[in-house]
Amino acid sequence: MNRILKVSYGPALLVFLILMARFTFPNKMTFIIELAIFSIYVMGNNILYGYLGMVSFGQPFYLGVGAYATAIFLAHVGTNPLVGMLLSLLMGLVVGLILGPAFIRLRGDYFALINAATCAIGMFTIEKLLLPITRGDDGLWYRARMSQIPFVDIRMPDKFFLFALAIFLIVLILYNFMDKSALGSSFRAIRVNESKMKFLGYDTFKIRWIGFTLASILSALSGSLYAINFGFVNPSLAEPHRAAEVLVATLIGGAGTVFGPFFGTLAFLGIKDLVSQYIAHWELAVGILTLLVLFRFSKGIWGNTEAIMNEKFGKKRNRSVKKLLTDKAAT
Amino acid sequence: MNIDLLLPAIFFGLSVSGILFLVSLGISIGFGLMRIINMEQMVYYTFGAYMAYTMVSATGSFLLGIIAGILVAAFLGFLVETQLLRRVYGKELMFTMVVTFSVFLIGIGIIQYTWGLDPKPVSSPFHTMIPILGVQMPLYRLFIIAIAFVVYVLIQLMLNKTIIGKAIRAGIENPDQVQGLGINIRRIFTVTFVVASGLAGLGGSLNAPLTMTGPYMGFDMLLFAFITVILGGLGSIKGTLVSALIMGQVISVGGTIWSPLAFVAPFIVMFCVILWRPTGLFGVTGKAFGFQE
Amino acid sequence: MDNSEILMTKGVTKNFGDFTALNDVDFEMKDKEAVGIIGPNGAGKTTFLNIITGYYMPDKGNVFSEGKDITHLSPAKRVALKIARTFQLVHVFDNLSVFENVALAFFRHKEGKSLPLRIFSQSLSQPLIDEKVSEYLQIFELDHLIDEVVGNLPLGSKKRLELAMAFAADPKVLVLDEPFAGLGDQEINEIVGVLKRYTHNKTILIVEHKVSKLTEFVDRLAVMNEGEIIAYGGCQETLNNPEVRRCYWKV
Repeated sequence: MNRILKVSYGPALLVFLILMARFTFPNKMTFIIELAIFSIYVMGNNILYGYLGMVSFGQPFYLGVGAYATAIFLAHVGTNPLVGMLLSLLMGLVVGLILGPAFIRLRGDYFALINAATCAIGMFTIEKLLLPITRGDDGLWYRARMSQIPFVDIRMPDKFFLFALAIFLIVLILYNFMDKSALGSSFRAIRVNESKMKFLGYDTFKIRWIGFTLASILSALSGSLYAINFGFVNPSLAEPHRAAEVLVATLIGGAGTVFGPFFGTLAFLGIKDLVSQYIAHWELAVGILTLLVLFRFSKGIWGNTEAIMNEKFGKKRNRSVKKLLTDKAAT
Repeated sequence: MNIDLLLPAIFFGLSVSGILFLVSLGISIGFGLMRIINMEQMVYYTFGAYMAYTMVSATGSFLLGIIAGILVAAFLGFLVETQLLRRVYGKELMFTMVVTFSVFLIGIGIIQYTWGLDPKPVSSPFHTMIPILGVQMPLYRLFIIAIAFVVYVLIQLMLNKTIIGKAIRAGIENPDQVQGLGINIRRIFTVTFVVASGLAGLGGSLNAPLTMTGPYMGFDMLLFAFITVILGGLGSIKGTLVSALIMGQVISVGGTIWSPLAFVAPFIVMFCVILWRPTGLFGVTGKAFGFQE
Repeated sequence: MDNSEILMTKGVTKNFGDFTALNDVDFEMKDKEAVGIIGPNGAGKTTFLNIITGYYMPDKGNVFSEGKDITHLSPAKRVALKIARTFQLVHVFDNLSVFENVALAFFRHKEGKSLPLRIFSQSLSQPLIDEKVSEYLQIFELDHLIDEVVGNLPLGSKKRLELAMAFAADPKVLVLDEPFAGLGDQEINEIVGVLKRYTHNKTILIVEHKVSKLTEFVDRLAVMNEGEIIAYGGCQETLNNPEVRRCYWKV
């Protein structure tokens, strides 16, 4: 219990700040909703890129899986958005478990490309082959079919805001918990030296599989939230060339950190917002920004903040061990 | 399937192969020689196509369009190699991938800025049809096949007969040793890169009349080019040629059988190749290509 | 001789292309014994360790541990049989802290599974791990570096850290590949001191060039040359072996 509390402080503070921001800038609510949803997507990619060191050029596919799972359910089967969301989570889990073993044994560049190929085929399937179900480019509309769920009526934007924020808080707490757990350390260890992890006796294949599946689940959750938020989906949400967005947000925020994805998303969406007021598309800005981060600012926003904080306040970790050591030295 | 449709499909496939070969070569050599994954090759391809569009609409001469396409693409390749890629040689493969992908995005941004978002049509320079084996083939497609063939022969000659070509070959076989031979590896890299990007530009300008020239044309081609390179084996020029020939037929004949196959079949091929034979057909070495150690 | 020795190989052969790295190697070690392997460069010493620890599979022959054929087991499964190793080129996690490095090794030992279920729920920072890790860190005099990121440490500390990780797995058999390479005399003596304390506690197989240091604590010495073990026995006896004198000392 103590540990749950420990990993909750940071996320709770962040969500509190977001709430403050929402009331300070009431007309920015749509932006903040997207911030929360996209952050979850970036967190998924951060497990792959930041923790495990795997680049995927096909993350939109996993987002699309989640979005379409919810959308197809709401448009054709049921009316309860929460059931749609559960379905998306399940799809994310299944897709991750099935594709994982085939993909993660590949070397990095092949991994990136086979994900891109998966995304292309997957979206083609949704757009063209499943046309009767997904209505292709026209998209699926189901806003009117969504029913009320207990406590909050998430069909209302300001209520959905609270709902999305609550999900974001839960995910962030779990994410922080993962980061501090043995699993988080194992991910980071595999990133730099997988063979040493094997010789320490860990099944690195399964650990990477877990990471891949977690990324898939988080992307699907994010896609589901997008679907509920918009009340419709079309294939443009998961176009293969949008693979860059999530990578860039991960890089800017600080790969391999807990809060990096949030700040990366904040910066990315902010820049996109600003840039799109001046030029129609944002590829140029995003490309330049990525190069800048890669060459000049490689730890990203949160990575650098953390480094400065560690410098200023000293590292707080392993206090208990240090105490143990001083006790031993005394006796 | 009707045999009357098969023959034209095969000829069409050959012209697709020609384009694929030209645009994939840079990716293949980039990996074989410099050990980088250069995703920005498609910028040169796209610029080649837009130069063809610009020159044809300004002067009406397609030949000028091709020349401008090659020169602009080669110049861009020179800029990118000397200003940026030099800093990433020897870095992790993943790093080179993200860097070159950013360059690709910047290129798309510049294209959007210069030419706008609307696709631009380029009309074919010849509309003559030539009968071959009883099939009417557009002369332009034959022209592409011929050019791709000439390029292949020229590259083979360059690799086998010139000093720099021999150095490139040695570099692909063993990148660490070339430095020791007293060869200026930087210059070799630059020359190779400029040639490869020029060829991608050539591919782009040649493909312009066959497809819509738009800012995102590089994305689809990027995936097809990578499939070609992976099928052939990263780093092998002969492999790139053979797999371009195969992919052309997969796209063209597949599309004739059932039109969605033109898009999906290459990816299915890629899946099979990556998962069951990750070295490709002519991978540089048997070990560790595709699989982690 | 039965197969129940703690470590035994029979007819192990390994080729790399045309080059025969190991040729029909028979080898055996008793429980709690310390054995050193010496030999010129390219004699096949590291290849031999790699086969024992599962980095490579042999082309021919078998590896046994306590009577069990482990020839085709993965490295992770061999760790489960309590065989731990270090590498000639130091293998540590540069992006983690000293504490986390050792804690990962100890956590695997504590949980006893190659994919511990509690990997999700447990933190590496908990009383039992804290206590054990600090113990190992003190043994290898790394306690003052506990929070340092390993990437910033000098080679000597990294080498000691890798040893600490191997010890934290509490192995029965400890396989060390050139633990002294690249270290100064002072650092070597510290490590020799630690190893001496454990020689009658653990089975240690160690490849090393510095024969004079080895003979301080190993029970037996094996000499390899051109993929074969040409002599194996007590230290003095082995070093005086005429073939060893000819091959190794060139006299």
